[in-house]
Parts: sequence; C-alpha cells; structure tokens
Amino acid sequence: MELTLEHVDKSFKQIHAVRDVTLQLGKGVHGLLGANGSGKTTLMRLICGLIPLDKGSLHFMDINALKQYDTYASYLGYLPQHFGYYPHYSVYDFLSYMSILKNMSKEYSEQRIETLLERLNLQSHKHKKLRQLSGGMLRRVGIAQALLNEPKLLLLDEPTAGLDPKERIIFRNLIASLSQECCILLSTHIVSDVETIADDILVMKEGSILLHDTVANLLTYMQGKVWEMVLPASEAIALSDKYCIVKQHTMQDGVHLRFISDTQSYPNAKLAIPDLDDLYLYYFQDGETV
Amino acid sequence: MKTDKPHISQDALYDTLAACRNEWQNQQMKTPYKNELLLRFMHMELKSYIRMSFLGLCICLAGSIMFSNTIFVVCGYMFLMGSCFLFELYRRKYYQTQEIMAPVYLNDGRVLLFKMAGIAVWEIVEFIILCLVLYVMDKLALAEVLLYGFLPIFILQSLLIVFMTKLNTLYKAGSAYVLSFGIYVILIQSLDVLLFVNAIQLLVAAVVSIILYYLMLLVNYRMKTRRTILWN
Repeated sequence: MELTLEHVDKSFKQIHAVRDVTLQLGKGVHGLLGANGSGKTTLMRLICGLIPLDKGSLHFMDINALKQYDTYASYLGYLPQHFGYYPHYSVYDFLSYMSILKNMSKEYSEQRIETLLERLNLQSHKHKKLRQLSGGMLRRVGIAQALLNEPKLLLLDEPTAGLDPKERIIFRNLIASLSQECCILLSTHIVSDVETIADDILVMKEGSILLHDTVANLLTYMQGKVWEMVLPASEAIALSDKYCIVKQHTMQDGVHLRFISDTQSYPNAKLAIPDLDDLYLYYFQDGETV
Repeated sequence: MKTDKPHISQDALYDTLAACRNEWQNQQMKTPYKNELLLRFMHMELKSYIRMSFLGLCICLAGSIMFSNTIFVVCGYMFLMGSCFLFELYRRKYYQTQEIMAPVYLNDGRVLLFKMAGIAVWEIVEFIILCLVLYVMDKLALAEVLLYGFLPIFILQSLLIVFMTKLNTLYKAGSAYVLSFGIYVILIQSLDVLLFVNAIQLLVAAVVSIILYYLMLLVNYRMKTRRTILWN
C-alpha cells in the first residue's frame, strides 16, 4: 500500500504552486505542514485527481491514477478544506447520496453508514437536517463520507478547522485508530494536530517538500536552537525584534521567553527541548532563515 | 537430481485461494449493478425527476401540437434537458459540493448520464400511459408524432449509461449527449420514418424490447448467482 509521486509539478498562470515533488508514502499517518499558500491544498487536489498534473506521475498500489482513475477513486477518501453540503438533506440521506456517488451497493452502504454513525457519535443526529448541525458535527459528517468506502488512501485537508478541543481529541484518536488500515495524508497548519499521531511529517514551502522525516528526526535539526529565559519587560521588547519568539508569558518575576537562536546569545538563556512549534516557526518565520 | 519444478506448499495455495475468494466476495458485495445504482439515485431525487419528466413530456406534447416541425421540438427538448443539468452544476457550485463530489465514480459527467436516464425512464412510463389515454380517446395521431419523435430519444437517453465506463468526464458525457441528439436529428431528417413504420408496431416493439431487456437482466443475475455458488 504505497502512494508514489514522481516529479509532480503544477503551475497556475504565473504561480508555480507545486514544484517537482517526489515522494513515497506507505501505511500510516503522514502530516503535511506548511504555511497558508505553501501549496498544501494544491498538492492534495493533485493527488485526488481534481486538477491535472502539468508534469510527473501518480501511482497508488501500482495503479496509475491518471490512466485507471475509476479504480484509483474507489480506494480514495477525501475531505476537502471547504466541506460543501446540501442543507436540506439529513445526515443519513447525505451519506446515502455519497454512497451512491461512490458506487457502493445498498446493503454494504447501509452497513457502513450505521458503523460510521456509531463510531463518530452521530447516531442520535442521523435524521437531523445538515443545516441544523454545529460546525463540529458537520466536520464529523465530512469525515464519515470520506470513510464510507473503507478507503486505502485517505486525504484530509485541514480537517480540524472549526473543531473545539474535545472534538479535536476525538478526531485525533479516530485518525490514530485508522493508521493501521490505510495511508493517511493530513494537511494542516495546526502543529498539535499531527505532533502526536503522525508517523512522519512533510514540511512544504513555496510548492516544494522542504523536509520529510519522522517527528523525532525532524526535532534533532532543532537541537541547540531553542532557548528559554526570564527578562525584565523593557529588555524583552528589544529581544523580540532580534529573535523569533515562540512563547512569551508575563509573570511577576519578569517576562518568560522561549525563542529560537542558532547560538547562545544571552548568558542566562537555557537550552530547551524543541517541539514541532519551534521547528515550524524556524522555517516559517517572517525573516526567513532558510 | 535437479528438477525445474518449483516447490509450492499446498497450504499456501489453499490460503491464497481463500484470500482470493474473500476478496472477490468483498468486491461482489460492495459493488452494485448499474440498474440498482440508477434506481437508488432516482429514489434520492424522486420529486425532481418526476417534475422534470412531466415538464419534458408536456413540452414535447405542446410543441408537437403547436409546431409541426419535429426537429424544432426535439432541439427544444434537448436544451431543456441540458438546462436541467446546468441547474445541477449550478446547485453543486452554489452549495460548494463540487470538490467533495468530484473524486467519486459518479462524477459530474456520469451524473449527467444518470439524470438523463432517470428522467427518460419516467418519461417512457408517462408516455405509455399517455398513449393508452389517447388510444381510448381515439386521438392516436398525436401519439404517433410523440412515438416517432420522442420515444427513440427517451430510449437513447437511457441507453447512454451503457457506455458510462468510457464516458468518464463531463466533457465526454456532454459530447455524447449532444452527439446522440445530433445523429437522431440527422436520421429523422434523412429517413422518412413515417412512411414505413406503423405507430402501433413501434409501440409494441418498444414494450417488447423493455420486457426483453429486463429478462436479460434477470438471466444475467441468475447466472451471476450461479457462478458465485460454483466458485464457493
């Protein structure tokens, strides 16, 4: 079960959205991190076959997605960034409609819908109209439609947008439980969404894959670059102009700062254990270091 | 002594056979017949289909009474069906569902074919009822115009889904739809169908064809069930 992209390239007029992307993804959760406009959604849409590739090839389990799209689509589950729906449909009707579009038999789809409603805690809302649901519930319906056909390749584009912390945790647990069954590509710019569940992380910038490694390996790049210290408020302002500040918290003893620097700039600064937020800011800070 | 025969364990062979059987059964269970899919699709949007088919038939009828030019009415009907599909595209755009409904088997192009076939099935049913009413009222002449002009189109619309595997994009499906109407218009112009076809014969032929089609489906279903039993 492997998704292979080779030299995938896509431009929109003068914007080079995806540049020569080559990657292989196996079973498990793969986090796709990047700032807004870095090309994440375009890459997802290319993998889905929603927009044609300018160059390159796309294979999943030796199926050429460009030539055998029907077979490829039968393995695909997709939750787009903007989840559109027919408001007058009930949850059950919408999922039934999607199962028809996905070419699923009646018995199989009924069984899948019941299973997913149970799993996503939507059983008591199944006859509610979609327009009556909250944002979090709608996202769950979106996830349910993506999982209807038991996909082997699941593409989730910013799936936690609009979810409250509890729903986010439920969602994370759900994704983690699916990681042994399929290849999941989860695009987000919310670092905490992928930090705990992703087997590896792809960092995308200006249309290219900048980094692709496990969380542990990625964090080794940040060793010795993350510092913490306490400063008086007046000095803290000056520091924020010079360095990339990750966290700032004003307390009685002064301002607690966590910042990124390649060297120990202050004698009282202590090395901190890096996390993905630090890595993200290191690569996507305004005064770009890379 | 060396032998070229590879050694394959019997247990491994049985395991492979069982795995293949499971996979095949899973696929059989998951994938529906095209007709089942069409019926479910029609059921989901039943009101809209009945409304559109009724409107289509009314337009055909009114056009046939008001204008003697069949081609003119056929073209009007084609545009009505086309605009019905454009409305569906607009609806998807309005509710922003294009993206979620794009990487699926029934994409925009195939939905066009399914909608046309669904509407046509209703139109055929309505048409047969209408013919019976006109027969009772002794106004078969009007039914004849519909029979020559529109029954073939209704059948054509429903037959297009046979080629659904090949017609996998909106562009291809749209082209096939326009092309089939075009061919029909050229044929009806070049051949004077009215001279050598009898309306009642054509109606009987249409009803017999539909019965035969469903008999074939039944035979196909039974054969498939038998193959499943044999395989197991």
